[in-house]
Amino acid sequence: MVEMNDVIDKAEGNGRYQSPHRTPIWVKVLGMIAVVLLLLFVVLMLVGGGEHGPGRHTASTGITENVAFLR
Amino acid sequence: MTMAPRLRKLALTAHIISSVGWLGVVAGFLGLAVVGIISEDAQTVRGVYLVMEPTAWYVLVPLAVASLLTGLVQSLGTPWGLFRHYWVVTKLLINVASTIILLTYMQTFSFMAGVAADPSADVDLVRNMSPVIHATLAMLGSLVATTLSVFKPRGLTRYGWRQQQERPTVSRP
Repeated sequence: MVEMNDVIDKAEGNGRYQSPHRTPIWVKVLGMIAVVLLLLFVVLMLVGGGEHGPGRHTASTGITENVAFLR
Repeated sequence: MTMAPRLRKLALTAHIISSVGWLGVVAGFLGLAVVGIISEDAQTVRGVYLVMEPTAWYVLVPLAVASLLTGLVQSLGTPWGLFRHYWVVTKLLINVASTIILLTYMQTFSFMAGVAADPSADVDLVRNMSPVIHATLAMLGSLVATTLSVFKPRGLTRYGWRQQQERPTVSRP
């Protein structure tokens, strides 16, 4: 049976990290996506006059055009 | 604190069931949300928004909380830890953010159900793009979390790296 520590050692590259701590690229990519989503949210809040609650996507965004697009 | 292997397996099973269950229910919500937009039948459209709120309260929220709690047990009860590996921290952030957004979004579910229940409201006013957008983002978050769980990409956090350096070479946690 594979032990949990063996799995962790494999995930860490079959041994210890000898080099100093470095942030992996995939973490940076996901971080950038999160920042973009956060900025998008802030922009939407500003456009909507600080409102992002119920009704945000109904009256102000023109649901009929969205319906036509999805159909 | 490390759990015994049998208990660890049980905790992992509970975490997988709640997390993948959550992903499945979000997929169901996305399907419902699309039906609410494209359906020609007014009753179906109203039904979609009426059913979303109770389903979210009785299925989505419990699964989200269960996924978070079982995830915490799983990470704290195994050598993976909660803040040692980037993939675990990323999953935690996705889970916490999704749960907070979901709880905040319950207000929107209630609002949409109210509009759908109003017979004087036009069906095009009942239709709402919001669930499509939110369910899509929730799906993406869940898919990223699931992928991270399977692949467990390399990468120790600064805290994890420091801990590893302090750990004696022979003994293992």
